[in-house]
Amino acid sequence: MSAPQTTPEELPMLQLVAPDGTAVGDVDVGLSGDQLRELLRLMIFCRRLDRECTALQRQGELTVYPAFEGQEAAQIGSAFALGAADFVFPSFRELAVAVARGVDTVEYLQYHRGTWHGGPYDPIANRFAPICVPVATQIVHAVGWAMGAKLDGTGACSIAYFGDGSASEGDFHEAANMASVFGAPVILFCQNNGWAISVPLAQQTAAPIAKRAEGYGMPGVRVDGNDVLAVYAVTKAAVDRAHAGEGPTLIEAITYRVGAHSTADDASRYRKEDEVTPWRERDPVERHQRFLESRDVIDETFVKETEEAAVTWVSEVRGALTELAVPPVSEIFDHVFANPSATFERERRDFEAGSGA
Amino acid sequence: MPERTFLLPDLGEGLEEAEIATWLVAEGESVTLNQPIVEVETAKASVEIPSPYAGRIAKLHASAGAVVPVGSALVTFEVADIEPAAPPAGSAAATPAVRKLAKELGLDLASVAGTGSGGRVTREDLERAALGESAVETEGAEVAPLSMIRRAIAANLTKAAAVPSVTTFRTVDCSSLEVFRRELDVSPLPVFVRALAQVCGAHPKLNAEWREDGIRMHASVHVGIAVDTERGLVVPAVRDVVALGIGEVATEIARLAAAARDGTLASDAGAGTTISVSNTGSYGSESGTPLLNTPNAVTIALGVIAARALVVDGVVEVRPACTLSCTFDHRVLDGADVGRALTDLVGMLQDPERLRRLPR
Amino acid sequence: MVAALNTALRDALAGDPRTLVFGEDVGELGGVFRVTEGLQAEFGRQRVFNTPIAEAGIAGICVGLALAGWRPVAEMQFDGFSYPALDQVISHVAKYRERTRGRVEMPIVIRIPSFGGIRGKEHHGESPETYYVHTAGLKVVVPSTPLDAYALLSNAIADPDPVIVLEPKSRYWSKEDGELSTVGAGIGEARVVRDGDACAIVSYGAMVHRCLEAATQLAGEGIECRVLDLRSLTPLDLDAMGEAVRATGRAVVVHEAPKTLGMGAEIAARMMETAFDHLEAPVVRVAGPDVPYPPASLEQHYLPSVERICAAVRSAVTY
Repeated sequence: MSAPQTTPEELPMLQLVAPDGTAVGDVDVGLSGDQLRELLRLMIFCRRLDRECTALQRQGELTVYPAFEGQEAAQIGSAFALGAADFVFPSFRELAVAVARGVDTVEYLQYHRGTWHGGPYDPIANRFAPICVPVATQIVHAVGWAMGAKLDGTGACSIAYFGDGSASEGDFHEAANMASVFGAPVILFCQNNGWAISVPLAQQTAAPIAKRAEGYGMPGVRVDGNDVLAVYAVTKAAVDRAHAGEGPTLIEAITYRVGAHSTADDASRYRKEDEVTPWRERDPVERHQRFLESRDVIDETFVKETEEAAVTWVSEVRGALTELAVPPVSEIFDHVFANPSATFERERRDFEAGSGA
Repeated sequence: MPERTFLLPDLGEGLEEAEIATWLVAEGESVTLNQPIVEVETAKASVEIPSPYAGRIAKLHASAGAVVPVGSALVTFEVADIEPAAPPAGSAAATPAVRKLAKELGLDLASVAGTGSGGRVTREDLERAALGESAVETEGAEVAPLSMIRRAIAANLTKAAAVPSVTTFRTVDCSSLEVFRRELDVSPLPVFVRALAQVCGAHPKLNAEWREDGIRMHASVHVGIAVDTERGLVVPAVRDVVALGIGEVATEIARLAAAARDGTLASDAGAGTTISVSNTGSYGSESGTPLLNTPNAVTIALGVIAARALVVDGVVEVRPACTLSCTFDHRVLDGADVGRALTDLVGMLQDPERLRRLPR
Repeated sequence: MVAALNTALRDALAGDPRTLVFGEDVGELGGVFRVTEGLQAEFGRQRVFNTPIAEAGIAGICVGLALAGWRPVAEMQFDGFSYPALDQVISHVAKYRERTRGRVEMPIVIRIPSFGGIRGKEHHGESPETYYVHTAGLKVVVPSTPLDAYALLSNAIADPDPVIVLEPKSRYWSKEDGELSTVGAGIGEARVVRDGDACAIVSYGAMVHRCLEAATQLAGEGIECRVLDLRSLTPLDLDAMGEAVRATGRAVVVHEAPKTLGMGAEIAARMMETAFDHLEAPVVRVAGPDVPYPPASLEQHYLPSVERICAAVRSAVTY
C-alpha cells in the first residue's frame, strides 16, 4: 500500500512550525503565552486520555474505541479557534475536540461504554452535537444549523469534522453545495489522516480534497494538521469569515492516524509499521513542546507537571466511567417521542409487563 | 487483601474466545495499572491486554496456548483499598425473556444464581431454581387447546363475575305446574319461560340492564335460553315472548336448541336477550348460583323437578317440587325487588287459575 | 386537496415565525403540484425557498435547522425520489430525540406526494409508507380528503415529533365542502367514513375513495360495510380497528402497496391480537401484487379495483 499523497505545488500546505519545533512561518497567530501553554496542556491531557481509553477497552470497560493519537493538533488547534456560540458537529473520533470544548468526558465516553448512544451530554448547552457514526451525514446537519443561525442573525458558525473517507460520500457533496448556495456560515474541516479503516487515501480520492472547494465556489485551505499553530490560524481565519457573513470554508488538515481504525481493527493486516514511523517523527505534541521550549514559553517543569496532572485527571475519568450504571430498560421508551401516542404507551406497558408484544 | 478476578472481555465486537499467546507477567508479581499483562490472539487480531488493577498477580487461570472463552476468568489480582463494587440495586442482569419466565414462575431474579456471561441469570438457572422450589411436576398432564368459542365464553363469564350479584333461592311446589304442562304436552321449561315473561310486566326491573347513564328497562322480553353444545354454552334468545303462546315458546326453544347443537345458529342469535334462563334441572341440578348473562340483570336457573317432602297446611306431604335459583345484578335490583318478583312468579306457577290464563 | 394543503402551510407560516418551507421548486413555481403556490411571495425567500436537487441534503438540513430551533417543513418532490433521504431520516430524524435523551426535538415535517393512479412515469407512483412506518421514532399520516389534508398537515406541523405526510397525488384535485379545522383529526385518530355491520373495510389515502364505491355497490347486495379511513399509519388507531372488528366480525384491508409487508400485514396482526374472538373470518388483504409498480397503461390492473374489493368483502361475509 502506498503512502499518502505528497503535497502538490498548486495547493500549498500551510505550515508555521516544522516537525523539529522550529518556526518556518509567521508564528504570531494572535495567541498569548497562556493560550500557547493551554494548547500544549490540552494535547498532553488528550493523548493520555486516548491511550487510557484503548486500555479501558482492552479491559472490557469500553465496547469499541477509535483512537485519535497523532491527530491531537488537528482537533485541538481547530477547536481552540471557535467562538463560544459556535456549534461543533463531530464524527466519531473527535474526543479531543470534545475535551477542548468542555464537554464532560465521562458523558462523551458513555457512547463507547454502550450505556447510551451519542453520549448523554446536552448538545445544545455544550454546542456539541451527538457523536455521529454514519459518515458524512453530520456535515449536512452542520450546514442546516448554520443556515438556521444565519436566519437568526446570531453571527455564530458551525464546524463539521469529517475524515478523508467521508469526503467520498454523497452527503459531503450535497452539504458542500448547499453550504455555498445558501452562503451558510459553516467550516468543513477534513482531517485527512490517510486512512479509511484499511483503505488508503490513494484508493479513496484522485485529487486533493481541499481542491474540491473551488468546484463548490468556496475557499479551500490545506494545512499541516500536525502543526497546532497552523491549524489554529487557518481555522480562526475561516471562523472570522463565517462570523462576518462571508460563508463557508473547506479546510483539509493533513495528519496521520497512528493507531488502527479502532480497537476492533488490526492495522498490521494492511499497513507496515515502517510507514507509520516517519509520522511519529512529525508528532504534533512533541513539535509544539519543542517550539514552546525554544521560545521559553515553557520550562522543564511544565511538561512534567502537566503529565502528572493528566494522569490524575485520567484516573478520575476511569473511576467515574467504571462506576457508570446501566440505565433502566424503560428509558428506551422514555425519549422516543415528545408527544407519545396512546398506541405507543400501550406498547410500552405491554413491553414492561413482559409480554414483549 | 481483597481479590478481584478479571474476566476475558470481548475484544472485538462479538468475539467468542481468544488464545493465550504470551503471558507477560507471572504469579506473585506486582503490577501497575495498565501494565501489559498478556498477549492474546483473537480471530481478528493480536491484542495486548493492560492490567485493569494495580496489585499482585494471585493466579493466572490459563496457560500459554490455551483457548479461553470470553467471560471466563483470566487473572485474579490481590488489590489494595478497593471499595467493593456494590451490586446494582434491584436489577439482576437477565434478558427480557428470562425476566418474564421468572415472573411466571414466581421467582425473585435477585435470589437466583446467574451462570451466564457477566453473571447474567439464564433460563437454565431459572429452571434449576424452579425445580428446586416446586413440588412434583405433573407428568403427562393433557392440555386441551382453547377454541375460539371457549375463549369467548371465558371472556363473557369473566365479565359477568365482575358484576356485583347475589343469588336467592325459592322452592316451587310444582303440583299444579306438572298437571298443567302435561295437559299441553310440553316440558316445564316453556311454561316457566312464558310465566316469567308475564311477571316481567309488573316487575320491569327483572327485564333490565345496568348502563352508566341509567338502568334501562326493556320494552320487550327476549328470554335467553342456555343451551349446552359440544363446543360450549350458548344462550340464544326467544324473542318477544309476551307475544307468543306457550306452544310457540316450546317450538322456538326446540328449534334454537337444535340449531345450537348443529352449529347452525345465526351469529347474532345470542344478541338482544333481556333476561336469561338456564334449565339446569335437565342435568339433575337442584340449585346453584348461575352467573349473569351480561348485560342482563337476571338469570334464573330452573332446578330439577322431583318428589320432595313439603309442608302443606301444617302436614308433610310428598309433592313434585323444584328450586329456582335467581342471580341478579345488585346494581339494578335490591333483594326486596327480587323478592316481590319471585313471590309473584312462584305464586303464578303454583296457581292453576293463573297458569290457565297464560296464552297457549 | 391542493388548496387545503396550501392553506395549512400558509396558516403554519403565519402562525409560527419559526416555520420554514423548502424543497425543490417550491419557491416561485409553487411546487410541481402547486401545493406551495404563493407562499414565497407572501412570506419571503428566507422562510420559503428552493433547494438544490439533493434529497439527502434536504432531510439533513432539517436536522441542523431543528437543532438551531427552527421548524422545517420540507418537501420531497415525489415518492420515488424520497429514497436518497432515507439514511438521514432513519439514522437521524427518527433517532435524534432518543439519542439526546429528549433534549433535542425534531419538529420536522417531510411532505411527500405519493402513491399511484396518475398514469405517471416510473418512480412516480410509489407506495413507500412501510419504510417510514417501520422506522421507530417517526409518525406517518395519510389524508384521503381535502379537509383531512388540512387537518393532518396542520397537526403534523404542530407536533413536536417528526412526521412524514404522504399526500395521495391522485386525490390532489379532489374537492370537498366543509370548514377547515384541525379538530377531530389528531395524529393517531382514524375515521369511520361509512358505517355498516356486515364487514369493515380498512384503508387510507387514495384507496378510501374506491372503498366507498365498493361499499355503495355492496349495499345494493344487502351487505352494509363500515369503511374505516386510518388517516394515521403510525401511531395506528388500535381502538378504532378493534371496534370495527367487534362491530362486524370481518375485515378487509385495502392498499396500493405490494402485499408483502404492506400495512395490511400489520393491521391483520393487530386485529388478531386485539379482537381475535370477534373474528368470524380471516382478515382479507386487497393490495398491489409483489412487483415493481407497472407502467401507466397497466396501472389499473395493479391497483385494487372496486371489483376486487367487493369480491374480498363477499368472501369475508360468506366465510
